[in-house]
Amino acid sequence: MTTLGPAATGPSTSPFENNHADPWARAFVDLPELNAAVTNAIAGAITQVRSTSGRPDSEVRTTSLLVLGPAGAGKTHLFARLRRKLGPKAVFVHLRPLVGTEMTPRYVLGQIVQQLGYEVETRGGDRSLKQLEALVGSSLAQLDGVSPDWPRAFLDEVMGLDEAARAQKLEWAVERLLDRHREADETYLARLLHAPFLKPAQQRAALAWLAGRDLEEQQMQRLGVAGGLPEERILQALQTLGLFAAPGSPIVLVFDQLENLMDAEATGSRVRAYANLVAELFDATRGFVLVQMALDSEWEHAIRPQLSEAQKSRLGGHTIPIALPTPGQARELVRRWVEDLPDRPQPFPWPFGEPRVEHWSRTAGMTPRMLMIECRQALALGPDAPFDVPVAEAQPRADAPLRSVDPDNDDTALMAAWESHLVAARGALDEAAADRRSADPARLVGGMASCLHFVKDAQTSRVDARQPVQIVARVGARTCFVAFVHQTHPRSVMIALGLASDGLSQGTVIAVRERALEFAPTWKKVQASVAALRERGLQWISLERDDAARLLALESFLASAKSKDLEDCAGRIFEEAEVHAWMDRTLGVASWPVAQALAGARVEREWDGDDGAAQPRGSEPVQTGAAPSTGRSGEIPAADTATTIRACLTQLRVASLERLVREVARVKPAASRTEVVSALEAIPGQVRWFGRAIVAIREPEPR
Amino acid sequence: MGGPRAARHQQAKSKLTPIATAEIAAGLVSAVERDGAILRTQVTQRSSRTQVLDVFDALVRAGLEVSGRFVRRPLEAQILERLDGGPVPLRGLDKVVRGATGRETAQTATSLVDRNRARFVVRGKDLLIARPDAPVLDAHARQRLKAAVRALGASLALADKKRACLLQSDVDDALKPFVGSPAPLASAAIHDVASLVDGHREGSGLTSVPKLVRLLGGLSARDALHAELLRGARAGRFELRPESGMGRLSVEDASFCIPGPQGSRLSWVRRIEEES
Repeated sequence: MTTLGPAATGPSTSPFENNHADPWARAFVDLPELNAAVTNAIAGAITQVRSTSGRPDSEVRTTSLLVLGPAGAGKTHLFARLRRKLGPKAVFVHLRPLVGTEMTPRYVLGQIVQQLGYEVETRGGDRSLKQLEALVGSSLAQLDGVSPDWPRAFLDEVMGLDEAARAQKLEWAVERLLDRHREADETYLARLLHAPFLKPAQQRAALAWLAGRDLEEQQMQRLGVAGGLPEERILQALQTLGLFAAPGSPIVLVFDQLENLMDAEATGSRVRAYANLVAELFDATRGFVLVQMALDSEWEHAIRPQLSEAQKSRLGGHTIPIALPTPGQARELVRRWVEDLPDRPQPFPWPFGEPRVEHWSRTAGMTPRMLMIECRQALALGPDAPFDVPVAEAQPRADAPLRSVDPDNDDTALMAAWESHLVAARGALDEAAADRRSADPARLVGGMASCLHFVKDAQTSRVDARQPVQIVARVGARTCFVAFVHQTHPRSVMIALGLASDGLSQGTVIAVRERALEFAPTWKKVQASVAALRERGLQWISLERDDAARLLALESFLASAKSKDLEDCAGRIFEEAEVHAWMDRTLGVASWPVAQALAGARVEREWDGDDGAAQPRGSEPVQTGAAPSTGRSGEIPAADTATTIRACLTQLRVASLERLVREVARVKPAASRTEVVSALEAIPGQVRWFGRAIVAIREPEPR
Repeated sequence: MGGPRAARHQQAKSKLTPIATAEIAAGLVSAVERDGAILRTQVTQRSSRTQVLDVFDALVRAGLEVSGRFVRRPLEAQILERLDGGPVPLRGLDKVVRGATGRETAQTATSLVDRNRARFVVRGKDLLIARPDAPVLDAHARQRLKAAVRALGASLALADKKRACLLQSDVDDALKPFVGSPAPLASAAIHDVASLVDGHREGSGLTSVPKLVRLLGGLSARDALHAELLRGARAGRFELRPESGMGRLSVEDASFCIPGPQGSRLSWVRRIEEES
């Protein structure tokens, strides 16, 4: 059995656990002098936009910076640092290229509006403030001729007005803004200004419209519109946002992990599409600060060669390399991390000792992430562990692998990483559910396309999240058309299904929709349409929450593998091929319902009714196989818990203990958590534990 | 058998043998050096039956190679010398070396490539053999070139169809990443690493370590350059950075990098004087 936690003895390793920066982290250790030049360059660009746009008759422009560095050098950390440093003086939007699909202006707009809902890093006792509130508050303040640095105060003031006075004030603000920027979209501007003062349901509808998302019927009624933002207004919406935000809280679009633009076939089409998008934002919008971050090697060898001269000047005009810590900075960084340890019986350099710290700080090529991993390992050994300065490494053989393989520890590290991606994916689903929308369609499509890489004899020929049929793939001798039906309005669903059904004459059409977005009973026409299409051969998959989470996690996990963000316990980075092999071995992606449906298996989780209540078969328990099935909720008295567990795990392959308990309880409602754990412990040869939270079926050893 | 005359002849011959064998071998060695190879029959013609084996031994001790038909300078050395003048087509390689059959030449070339002492390259429809440090496009670069050529092909087709032209600069841009291989610099340049790093900076402001090693002559210059770079890094003049590419280093490039912490390879160097 392996464990995920640190060694039981010794101090807590908590400051050294998070070796992957979270752009939205609130508490993190920072050394401001490390890469101060990069921070200052970005902060300077933001200040420049603010000051220029605040002056009458000034010509504000969009600026672009490119930040390059190796994996673990602190690119994403910069995002968190800038949020802390600038607080409400800028709106920060973190974007990363999607796996398998191109970024579009609509996607960028959607991400900006979604992240307007995230909180601003506030100081000390300040009340929490959303980026949307900071944006509107600082803009109103600036229009009123007061400092935009205290948006909360101004927002409270407007909030305190009675409804009529507030409406008058906002109308005045819209007029002032339109006077200043004639190219702005008036409706968009008005709805944006009103958004912070709306009631929750009204605000959700307004934000969905502002984000360019598909609207539900009720949301349309609330807003008094006939539909969402059409394609031709998306760019104008972006222009309006840029102009509106520039004087108070300029919008900083951070395109992180650009290495994910590289496709396996090295066609360069995604790089060029991205370059066109950024060039369009650079040329057609004003007041944005575009920050692009990429691995230096990938930029130099793979991305830059694909760009035209015009694109190079827009994307890479101002390039700033991320610096690695100098010896003094490395030492100071370690000292600050150590300060976060709860018990410190001795002063620094305890618990590492002077020779170790000296060696780390003098080692050439040590990134902050490597440094953190060294600290974690040394801490696990204990403060009194001896240390000999390693002899300089000899030149390795040219074909020597970068990592020495250690199957058990590698599996543990990858499993822990996968779990963290699953947790993030569940968070994204919760966020989507709160907004009553689908999970990010582009990410789900990316996940589905990635899923296909694990299906035997499958080859994707087109992945494009903008199309009604997002994936076209060849599976064996069949051509599969996959349509992800994410729309929230019945009319849009009907249009999407109509377009998807065109493929029925050419191959298999698979329609996928999240279970969370089940059709309302009143959507009679949609249900009739689905039933009719199913008669014609359409396959329908209702995507369970767990399946959707796995697809989202798959997308982000593969992106991390590409960005060199997955490493083993010793800090050595996993190669993409290793990650793929592990996924194939452990996660059994090919057996996931979506993958099986694509592979041509019978669709288990399908919509099966047109009586107004879309009754999913997917709510059935996992097919237990060995245990006789007695229906949806029937108990199987004869089946013992171990058999049920084995059957469930055979289906799930790897699952959290909670999920397994849940699945077992669906077959055997009387089964308790303790009983499941005891049964699992009784069959150690058949199951494998990852810590105490994750359990997987143990595959038979190959002979 | 044999009368007194035969006995005398035998006695005289045996007395002369030690000198004659060395002389015969020396004559043959100079003939091989002059002509590159001689027929093996020349050895047997010039030596008596008892001498032959000694002569062959002497020729091998002199560093020559004895094959079924020829005595020659070692075939590997002959091929490697030819490669100094540039890649040589594999077809007809037996015509440019001396004393080897086509099959022997092909086998020796393959053996050299297998042991990384040479590499096969393609020119047109011909397979050539080249020095191991000849600048080549690795698998990733070839993929990128394929894409660039495909894109150019499409542009050409469109230009023909629409009676339009291609901008020279677009063609240059498309092919620029794949052309241009500067000649190796003198090893004295190692001592001026700072200028070298500055002079070969990429658009990102970083300089490729494998590129510098190659510029200085390849493997022979590697360790000296690494030592200079590490010295500069300790003095705070350079920053050495780990490779983060997605398997973009060729096997040779990887061997030209400096071993870094946690199994990484330091493939980039950056001047940091301007910051301090």
